Amino acid sequence: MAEVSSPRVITPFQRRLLAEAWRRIEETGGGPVDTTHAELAAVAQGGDFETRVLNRAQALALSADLPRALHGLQQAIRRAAWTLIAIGGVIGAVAARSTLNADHAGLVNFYWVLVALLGVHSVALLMWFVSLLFSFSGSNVPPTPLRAPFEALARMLASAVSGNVQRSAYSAWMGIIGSGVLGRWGLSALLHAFWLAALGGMLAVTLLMLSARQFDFVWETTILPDEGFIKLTERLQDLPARLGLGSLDRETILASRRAAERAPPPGARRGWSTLLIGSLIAYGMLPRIALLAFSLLMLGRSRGRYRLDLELPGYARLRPRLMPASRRIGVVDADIGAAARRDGELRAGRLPAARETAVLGIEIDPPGTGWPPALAIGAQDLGIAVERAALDCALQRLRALQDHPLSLLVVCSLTASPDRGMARVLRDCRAAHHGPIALLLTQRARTAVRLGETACREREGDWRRIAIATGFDAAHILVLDLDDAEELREFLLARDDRHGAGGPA
Amino acid sequence: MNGETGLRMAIVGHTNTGKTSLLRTLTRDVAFGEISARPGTTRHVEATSLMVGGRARVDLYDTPGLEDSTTLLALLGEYRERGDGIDRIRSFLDSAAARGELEQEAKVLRQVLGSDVLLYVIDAREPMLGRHRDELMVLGLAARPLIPVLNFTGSAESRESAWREHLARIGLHAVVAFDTVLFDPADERRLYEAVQAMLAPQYDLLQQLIEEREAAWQALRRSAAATVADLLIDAAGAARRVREGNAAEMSSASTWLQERVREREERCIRQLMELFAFRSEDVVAERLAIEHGRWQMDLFAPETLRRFGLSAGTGAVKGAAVGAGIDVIAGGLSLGMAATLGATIGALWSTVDRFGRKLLDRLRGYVDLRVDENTLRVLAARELQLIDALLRRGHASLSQVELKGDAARAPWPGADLPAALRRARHHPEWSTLIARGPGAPEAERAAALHALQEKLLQQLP
Ligand SMILES: Nc1nc2c(ncn2[C@@H]2O[C@H](COP(=O)(O)OP(=O)(O)OP(=O)(O)O)[C@@H](O)[C@H]2O)c(=O)[nH]1
Ligand SMILES: [Mg+2]
Repeated sequence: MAEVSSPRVITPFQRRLLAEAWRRIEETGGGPVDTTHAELAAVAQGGDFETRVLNRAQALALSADLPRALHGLQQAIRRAAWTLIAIGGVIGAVAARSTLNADHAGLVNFYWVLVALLGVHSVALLMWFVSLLFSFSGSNVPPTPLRAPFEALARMLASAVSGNVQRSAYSAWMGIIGSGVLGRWGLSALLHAFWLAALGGMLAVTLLMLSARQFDFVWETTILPDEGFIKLTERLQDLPARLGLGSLDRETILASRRAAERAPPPGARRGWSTLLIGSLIAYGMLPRIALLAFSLLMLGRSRGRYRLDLELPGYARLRPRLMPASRRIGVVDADIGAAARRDGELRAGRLPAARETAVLGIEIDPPGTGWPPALAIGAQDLGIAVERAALDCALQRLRALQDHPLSLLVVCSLTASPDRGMARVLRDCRAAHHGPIALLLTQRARTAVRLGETACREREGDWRRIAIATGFDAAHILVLDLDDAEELREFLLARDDRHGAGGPA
Repeated sequence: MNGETGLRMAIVGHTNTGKTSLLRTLTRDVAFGEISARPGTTRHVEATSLMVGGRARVDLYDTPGLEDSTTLLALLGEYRERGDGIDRIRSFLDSAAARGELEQEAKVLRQVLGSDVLLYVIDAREPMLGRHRDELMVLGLAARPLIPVLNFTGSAESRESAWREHLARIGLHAVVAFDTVLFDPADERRLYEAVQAMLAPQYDLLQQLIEEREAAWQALRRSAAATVADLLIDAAGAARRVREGNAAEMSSASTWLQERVREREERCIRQLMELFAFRSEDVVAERLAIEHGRWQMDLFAPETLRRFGLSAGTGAVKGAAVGAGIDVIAGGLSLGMAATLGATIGALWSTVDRFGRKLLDRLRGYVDLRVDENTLRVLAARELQLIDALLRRGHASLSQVELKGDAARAPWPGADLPAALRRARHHPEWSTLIARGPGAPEAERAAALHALQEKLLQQLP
């Protein structure tokens, strides 16, 4: 079994995705027709069912150059993700710039700026959280804010690839990494990375503008009490202060009210700037960093936990081949003298010309029409022999009757196999009797039910063959169902007619 | 070949009792050996091995039939002074008779001496005859544990209880009934347990075998249900958008959908046959049966629905459509229109029309054609019947799958379709019958599939 010659190390997760993509290709009629070789190799490699499915898929996918295609897709996804993150950074930067530029004369409403910079982010965070809760509540829907962009991205990437096989592989893969638990955490990670970049862009531009320009941060209100704003600012400062990014005191805050009586103290500008930066970090970037790390962790875990759904028809159908219940070993003691078989000729039989008859049944149940059969008038009943001793006894009696002009009627059932043991019995009967001998085969109807019409005919042929081989006259083999009163009556009528026509009245 | 831990079982018995059949069924191998109703079919000893823990650990040997045990017994009697039974058998194997007329019997005895346990197969339709006693006597000389296996016990002519009685009287009590054509996993388990009881050293190996077989059986049931769930989700979601009132477009879309669903069902049947390890020729046989039996019936014909205990169409449509109808639930507006169309198109479709964009389409005059709910029920009923038949089908079976058609009822009568299936109706992107967009959510579909699978499993034995 060839190792994967791909230069890249394939992780277990990637192997599973490969198998998943390959299943899709096979279900849409792609892939080679003969997969026996890969399957035998997978069986030889052993392992549980999933391992074998993976080995099989890898061997087959390799020949179709699928790993390279999927690697290409992975690269494309990575590029797309980085592009998205870069766009996030630019958006953040532009947002920060236009926010800080909006006010004239360097007079900036602090809360206005704060809401402009962190408002959308907070709302998006809330939406993410709500959709996460929804996705846990069983509906299995990944974070909706990214669903539409993700599908657009998927469509874009898929349209960039050519070839039916590759495209179906692509869409299968996108379907897996974009849905379920994997999709939930993958898309979450992307979302947080995007926002982290945006906030990073904001921070950078804000820092830049705060260094290169002068802003006077103020706050204002028309109907709200001043005390509320002071409290709010102090609360807001709590978290950044722990990072060493908040040093505004009550006096400074009060003095920064727009058109306050007292001019703000000299440190006010710096204090407000620090709080702005601190808020961006503490309320924007830090939560996003934490959530990004968490999402990546969960993504890694769900990748590690990802298993093929082996009950899907595309995999399940492989089970008999990859997990065979048995393995053939072959012939261990060959047939050396295979006797050629010949079908005996099928001909209607009749009983020998009427004379006294001895009747012997072999391994049969007493017929439905009674024993001895009504067709042998003046019969000597030798009984039904079901074992060797009984047969020997019957043949003994037959030998004792040999001075009489007697014909022997042997009754066998077609349900029995005309095997060598049976041939020996017939031969022994033939040997014990010197007069005419006939074979009656009963239970044809039952045999036909058991075996079907064709096989029943074959069996009749086999019986005739062994009977002829053991010395019976082909003309004296007849098939007559002794369980069937109607058939027996018809036979008797026909025979009497023949006798009536042939013999003197 | 299996080291010291392997187990060797020889399958012996009179000719035509189903020895090769037993092997096929135990090994799930439809192509092992040759089976025929004629005597003396198997003329060599052929081996195969059951996989336990991924390795070939239990060897099984198919032997020719013992045909002339009477002569054999007489011959063995002549070696009485040569020692015990095994010595006498050895003497016979060295004799000229063993290379001549009794060559087949010699093969059997050679293999018997090379085995740990014997499965003596009996055609339970036959009465116990002298030759059976002779055969058991010959085999008894080899002093191997012997388990009588009654085959054909599913037949009406089976004399199972008489056989048990007879065998008990000659000291054989661990008798197993195992019909090789009418498969029952419980019988198979009993067979291995009987071997287990006789061969203490191999207890663990056989226990593992029993457990693996049980697990495989459960996996088979579950996978079969998932395969049908897959079909139903595909069929339920398949939709074709047409301009309402455009009869030509409607009928061509309806034909298109019918074709897709029929193809999809055929694929499902193929998948099931493959899953159960029945030969591809079996599929052909089944297809023939479909053509001649009720499978030939049009899946969409009202007659099919009636046979499965369903009535065609719903409500107002029933009267309007002669023999068939369109079941339009498009909000009253198009009901009259569709009822008229129903008579001409002659297929059962429902238009399910919900939510924003679709509403917009409605206003523009588009509707979605979909497979009708009753058709989904019929599909489920047919596939469940097939699974039911396959679960009971031995790998020795030469006949076609038989379906108990008339007694069968569609699942979930009088109740709504399972929730998962109803959801699938609103997710055309789950259906593989129509071109799917890239990134169609796999996990959501899989969740619905498994929910439906559980519902289907409740319908299986
Ligand atoms: N209905 C039914 N038919 C069976 C069953 N087992 C075997 N058969 C049929 O019985 C016939 C003989 O089966 P084989 O498996 O060839 O028997 P065998 O013992 O291997 O025969 P030889 O190799 O000739 O000694 C075939 O026609 C089988 O289809 C069973 O359980 N039920
Ligand atoms: Mg055989």
